[in-house]
Amino acid sequence: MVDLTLQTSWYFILSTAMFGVGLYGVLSQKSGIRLLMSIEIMLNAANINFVAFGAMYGQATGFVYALFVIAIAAAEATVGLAIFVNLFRVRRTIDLDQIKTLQG
Amino acid sequence: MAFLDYAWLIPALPALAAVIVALFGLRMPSSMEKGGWVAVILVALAGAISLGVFYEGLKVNPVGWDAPYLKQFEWMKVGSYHVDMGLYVDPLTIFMLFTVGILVTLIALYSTGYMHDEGTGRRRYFAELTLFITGMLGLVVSSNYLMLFVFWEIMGLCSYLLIGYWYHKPSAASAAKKAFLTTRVGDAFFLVGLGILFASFHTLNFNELFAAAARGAPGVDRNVLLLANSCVFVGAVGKSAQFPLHTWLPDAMEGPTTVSALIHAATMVKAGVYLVARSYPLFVLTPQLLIAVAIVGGFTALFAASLAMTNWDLKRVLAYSTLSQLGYMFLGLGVAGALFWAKGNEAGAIAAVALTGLTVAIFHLFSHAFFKAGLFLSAGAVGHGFHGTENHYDMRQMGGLRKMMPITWFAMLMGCISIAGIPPFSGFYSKDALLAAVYEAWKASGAWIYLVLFAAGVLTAIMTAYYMFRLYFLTFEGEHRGPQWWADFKRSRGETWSVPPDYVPPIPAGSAHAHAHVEHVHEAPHAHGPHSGPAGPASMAHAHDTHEEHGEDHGHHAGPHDGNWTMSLPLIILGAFAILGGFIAVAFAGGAFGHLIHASDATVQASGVNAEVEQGPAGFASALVAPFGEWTTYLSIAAAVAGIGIAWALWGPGRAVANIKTDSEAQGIERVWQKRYYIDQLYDTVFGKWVLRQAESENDFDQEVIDGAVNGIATVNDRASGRIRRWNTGNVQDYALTMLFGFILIVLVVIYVPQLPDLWARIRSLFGVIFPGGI
Repeated sequence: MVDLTLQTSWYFILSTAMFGVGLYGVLSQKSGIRLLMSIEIMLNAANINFVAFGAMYGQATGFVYALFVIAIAAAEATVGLAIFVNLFRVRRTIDLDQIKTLQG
Repeated sequence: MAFLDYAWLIPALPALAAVIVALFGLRMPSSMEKGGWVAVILVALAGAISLGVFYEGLKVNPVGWDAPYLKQFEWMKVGSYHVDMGLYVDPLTIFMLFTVGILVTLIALYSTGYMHDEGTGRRRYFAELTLFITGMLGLVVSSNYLMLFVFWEIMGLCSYLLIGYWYHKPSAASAAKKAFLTTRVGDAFFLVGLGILFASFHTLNFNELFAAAARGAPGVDRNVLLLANSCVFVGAVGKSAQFPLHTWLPDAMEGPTTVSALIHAATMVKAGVYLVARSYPLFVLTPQLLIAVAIVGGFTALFAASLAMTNWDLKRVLAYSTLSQLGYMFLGLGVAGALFWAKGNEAGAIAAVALTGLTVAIFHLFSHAFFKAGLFLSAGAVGHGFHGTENHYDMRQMGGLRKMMPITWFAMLMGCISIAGIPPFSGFYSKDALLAAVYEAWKASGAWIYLVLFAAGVLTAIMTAYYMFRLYFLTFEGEHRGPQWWADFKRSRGETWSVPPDYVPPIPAGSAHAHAHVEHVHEAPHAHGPHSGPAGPASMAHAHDTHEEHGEDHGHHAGPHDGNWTMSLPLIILGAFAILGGFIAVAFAGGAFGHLIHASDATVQASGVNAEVEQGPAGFASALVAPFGEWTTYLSIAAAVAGIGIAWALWGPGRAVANIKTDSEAQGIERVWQKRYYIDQLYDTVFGKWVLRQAESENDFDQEVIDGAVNGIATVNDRASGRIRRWNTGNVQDYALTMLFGFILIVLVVIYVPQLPDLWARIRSLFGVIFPGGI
């Protein structure tokens, strides 16, 4: 019979999968909003890692870090959205393929 | 020890003056001479501190000088070696400070009058002048060779700038280059010598070097030391313009006369003598080099005096005279070469004689500095009064200036008598002491070379008296001849020459004259025969180009006359020094002067002679006050009188005109002298043609191979970056992907690089399997 009790490694598999999904999104999505969403997914993958380790070792550090990451992710999303809003006002687009001025 | 503690201000104040004048000179009102008075005041302050240090030095008990005043801090540290910077004050230093301190103050003061007509050029002049003074004063108080070398090079730079002050004049520009490059030859050797010294002794600090020398330089091969000392000596030869690096000094007359006075009397050329004197504790360890020093000095003295005898240019005669007198100083320094024969029972006696060499050389430096400064500043006043600003110094056009410029006449006559060696003028005492020392060196050591050098010295004394009084008679006595006479004279010899249009006093102002004159100039040298000579009208003509630089009123002089007080006061003071210098030295004989030798115990010990060496005040004072017991004294007086007599017979009032010749009339030995023994031509041939050709091929190598390599690298980079920049798309996601790959790469490196040695071992063992016998 398969042991269905939650094992720590399962969380890691979940977080790795989420991170992979997020990374794929960051590299492939052409919409700026989707890019931000993908970053959020990657951050939350990291959060799951933190929390899982925190639970495994019975220490608060991991949970505290997760809280920090959530707070910073909120700030990051705010800044990111503000950038895209302004970008849209100027360029009338947030298609990442159209925004190529960052080059030498 | 109040003044000694402020001795660091001595080089610092002129340096401050240089900065202030260079930055703010142009904003100063013209009553400040574009910073000239700032320079005078700060230099005078430095001079006053120098005198204070000198005074304190005299007060100090001779025993107190066993250890020099020394303050130094670490300048740089390389491994376990360190190079320091600091002050080193001993009797030699205070005598240099006394001499240099007074002279630079007087010359700076004189410059305010002499350079008055130079307009905005005065800022440049005074900034360079004060930097030059910084170089000399700093050199004198330096506590180690490297610091000394820094100030030595500052002087080299400033001599270039000041000799080339009238840089738009081609002859001045090339004279400046010549001075810079010729002294550079010596400097290169000097630096090599310092390198060898540092490698041998692991220090360049005077106190440590001399302490090691006093112990006989343990652990240092004598041949290596000889090489190092020789290199240092070549540096001194270059700076002091001794044969064969003498060619720059006569050409250096292209600078303002104040600069000539500074270079000849107080600074530049004296630095070479000072260097040898400073290095004496090291030099006495290799007496064979000191014999070479004596030979170079004796030869240069005779050689330069011969050149001075037929030259017509007032300043160039003085320049050759400086060469000759510097030769005397090196001859004096070389007396210690007698130590080479100091063996056995005679050792003590020989050492006693040999070690007076330093004292007599410094004594002659001291007296020469004052009378030569007086002579040069008088020559400057003659030039200044004669034609306005800078002009030619052709003595054939002068004559009879005594009544027109009495103060200049006084200073010049005192200088001439002094350098000729008539008692009781200062030049007599120092020259006599020097020749006596050479003679004693022969008597004590029995080395015939010193007898030869003594004969050369006496012959030089006759020649010196002759050419100085030839100069005096031609310039100041007889009827005033003037340019018009000279033009008529040349016409009578079938040559053409015209009086410069602005000579005839009084001269109306106007630039038309200057233009007319420039036209004039270009035809003059052609009409002048095959060789126009250094004193020809060409050099005078060029001077007029300087009018372009004059922003302010250009003084229009009604004939020759004395300068204003700033020029006359230094002349009077220097004239007085020419008379009294000997007595001053006698008065100080009981103090520091007599202890020049005593103080440098290192020298005595380094000479390797343990016998009691008679030294100190008593011996030296008696040598000065009572030199009349020796027949050599009468010989040197007779030499001076003979020289003056010949000059009077040939160039005395009324007779000069008959003996005046144009440059192209010189025949035989006169021609050789006029051509300076063809040495300048030889150098031009060797360095101007052969070396130039070599340099051109090296230039090709530089352009094609070295520049080619550099340019090739640039081209490769340029093309490669053209390719690489295409990766720089501007797309954020491309960058993110690059970052991802970079991150992965870093992870791989962090994981696998520590395992590489292990991997390497495995590959080696694999090789071991494949090639069991090894490769």
